[in-house]
Order: sequence, then C-alpha cells, then structure tokens
Amino acid sequence: MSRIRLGGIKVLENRAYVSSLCRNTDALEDICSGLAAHRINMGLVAYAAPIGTGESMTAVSARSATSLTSFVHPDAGRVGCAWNVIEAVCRISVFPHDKRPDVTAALIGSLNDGGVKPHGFASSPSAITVVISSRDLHAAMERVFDAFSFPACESYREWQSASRAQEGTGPEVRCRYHEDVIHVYDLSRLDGLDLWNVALPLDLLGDFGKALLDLGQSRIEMSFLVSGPSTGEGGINFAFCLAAEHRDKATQIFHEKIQDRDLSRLGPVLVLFLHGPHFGDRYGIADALASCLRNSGISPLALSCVMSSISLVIKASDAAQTIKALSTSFQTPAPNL
Amino acid sequence: MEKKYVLIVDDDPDMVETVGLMLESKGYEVGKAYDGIEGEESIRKRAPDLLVLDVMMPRKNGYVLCAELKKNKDTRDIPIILLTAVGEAVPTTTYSHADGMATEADDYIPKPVDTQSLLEAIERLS
Repeated sequence: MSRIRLGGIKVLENRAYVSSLCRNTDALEDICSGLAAHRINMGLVAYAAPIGTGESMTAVSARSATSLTSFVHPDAGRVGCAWNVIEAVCRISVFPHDKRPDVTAALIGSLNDGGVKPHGFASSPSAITVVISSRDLHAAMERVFDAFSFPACESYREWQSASRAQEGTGPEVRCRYHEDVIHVYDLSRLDGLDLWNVALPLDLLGDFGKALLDLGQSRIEMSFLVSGPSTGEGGINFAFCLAAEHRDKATQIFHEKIQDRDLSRLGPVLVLFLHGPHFGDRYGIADALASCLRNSGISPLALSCVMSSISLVIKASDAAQTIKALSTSFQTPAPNL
Repeated sequence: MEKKYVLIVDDDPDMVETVGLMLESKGYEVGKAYDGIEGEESIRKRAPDLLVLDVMMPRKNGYVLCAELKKNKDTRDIPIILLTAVGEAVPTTTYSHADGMATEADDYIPKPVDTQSLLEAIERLS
C-alpha cells in the first residue's frame, strides 16, 4: 500500500496524561481550572459529553506529571468520576489531515500493526494527534513512517537524525503572557454536521480504522475527532463529526465494519474553530473557554484543544448564544459569524 | 484573471490552515510549507507572487531564508511578509523586533497578528 504524503510530523516526549470518566457529571471544568491555576500550558485537552456511553470523557496531556496530577484529588473531585494517570506518554501529530478520515485511518492502522495501544486522539483544524505510552514511541514511529511520508524526512531514521541535530539549537516557545480577553487569529464554523460516538474494545480499533478508510474513499470529510478511555478494560471511546448529508452512507459503513457496536449519533451540530496564537504554548486558554460556556449555560458536546486551536462541538441551536458567549473571553476578527 | 499565488511557510500547521483558508476565500491560490527548507524547495519549483514567512521554524529559520531569497537574483523580487512572535509575547525567544526590521523583508508583522492587517499587507504587496 502506498504511503500518504503529508506536510509534517511533530513529536512531543516526556508528557503526562490524565483522563477521567464521569457518570452524571463531568470533569471538564475541574481539569481546565486546574490547568490554569497551576499555569500548565494547554498541550492537549479532549472532551466528549455523555451522549452515547452515558459517561463523559475528559482527557488532558501536558508536560509535567507532578503538576498535572497535583489537582487530581479523588476525594475532592466530583463524585462519580474515575481518574486515570499515566506519567510517561508522548504525543505524535501528523498534518495536514485536510479533513480526510483516511489520514486518521492510516494513523490508527499503523499503531494497530505495531501493536501500540493508543490512549487517546484529538484533532485540530490541521492535525491529528495521538497519545501513546513513551515505551511505545519507537514501535509507533517505525509504523507511522510506513504509513506516511513527509518532505522533511522520508524515514524514521532521517527523522531521528534531524531531531538529534536540532536538540538545543533553538529556544522552545513557551508563552507566559496573560490576556483578559484572549486574541484569536480566527473564529470559523462548520455547520450541517452529526456528532457520532462509538465505544470500542481496543481489539476492534483496526476495524474502526477500516471504517474511517471507507469514509475517506467515499470522500466523506471528518472535521473533528477526539477519543479517550471508555468503561471496561482497555476500551476506547471516539467522538467525531461527519456531514449530516452523508449519514446513510456512514451508517452503512459502520454497520459493515463494526456492526453498529455502541454507536450513537446526535445532530444537527456544528463545530466552532478558534485558532491561536500559541494556544498550545500558553496556560488558561481552555479554562477561559470552559468558564465562558458555563457562565452562559451552554453545554459543549465535545471539544479538543490541541496544537494551537480549539475545536468546539455544540448543538446547532446553541450557535448564536455560544458565539456571543465566546466574545466575552475571546477577541475574534470575525464578529459577524 | 489568473489567481495570485501566495506561499505560506510556518511550522504551526493550524496557522497555515487558518491563513490559507482566509486567502482562498479572497481568491488567492495558496501553497503551504512547514519549515524553511521545505519552503525553499517549494519556491524553487514554483516562485510565488508573495511569501508569508514565519521566523521561528525548524531546519531553517525565516530570517535566514529571507536573506537567502533576497540575495538571489531569481528570487529577490518576491515580496516577503515576515511573521513572528517576539518581545514580551514570548520572553524566552532570542529573536527581536530589531532582527526583523533589519531583514530585507517587504513587511514585518509581529504576532499576535491581526488577520485583517495581514490580509491588507498581502493585498498591498501581491
């Protein structure tokens, strides 16, 4: 099978990963406020409301395990939440995905072929990011380079050489500035979507990847995806958006590939994308989002904060109220959305 | 009328996506590259009508690429807009506003950039 040509790959090592599964409540606000209070840069936040599984999923990955876990106090946390902390993970991001499900499918397939169990995924407008255990990095990267090629490095060996050459050659961008109202490069929306949710045992991950491959071959775009742990030993929960006009075709594909396993759908929804600057290198961004939504009584259906963007899935009927709410915390250049 | 071709070179893929969508909506043809070397190779294959160039990038930073392009007779006339986060916004950076002003770039826009200002600069220079 030929490799998919993409623009680039980024790997962040020495990260930690905290996830929670909550019944009848969620941990999004707790996690976001904890990140902000401890001045932890955003890194990755993934959230899915309990639309299918009955449980909300919140996951976060950041640099310091000590800082990240310091606000996870099971006794003080919300009742009904189960927390999981993994102290040595890395994040692999490939881009641009151009909304192609087959790019995510290839990433899933490469991990599956390498026997690597992903902890979670999150998409940005341009990239798809996967969180894996640090011990799996080598196996994962070998397979990722079997699935993709990049202009900067054709092989894993080339990538390793380039990474070694760059170590210590430039300062890492770590922004510490605070803005009362956060400047945003761009706020855009994508309407006419369904939010799908599926919980799978990890041994069906490859089949889910094949379903995404079929979606891609049918030219069905996937504008949003997050995942994290689900109930049950080693399960994974995906939430993702597809155009509502392709509902029948997508249903057929999922029926063929995963036999409708714990599959649910909610629509109409839309995705709001807020982009940077430096969202991935600053603290407090996710908290500003969660706070302004809470203050306006809006319940997000799913969200990802990864790379330098936020992708927020809401009910279509909440669009006007959400955009108005966002204007209290974010200064956007597109007030007429 | 033939579309103007703008090449965006930035290691932030979401930034490339955002600016690319904005320019495409304004009728530009957009090329994308994610580091200085890839940008250089892209220019060699097809010279853009304008280059939007980030400064802090792996493999080859924007200052170096800008200087090389302006020294080369084949590429010196390509308008270049340099984008970067400097000064108070990124206290740890070694790049300064003075470094940017010292280049031969046709415009220099510090991040966080107002996308409307960027668009106006692109329309003025392309």
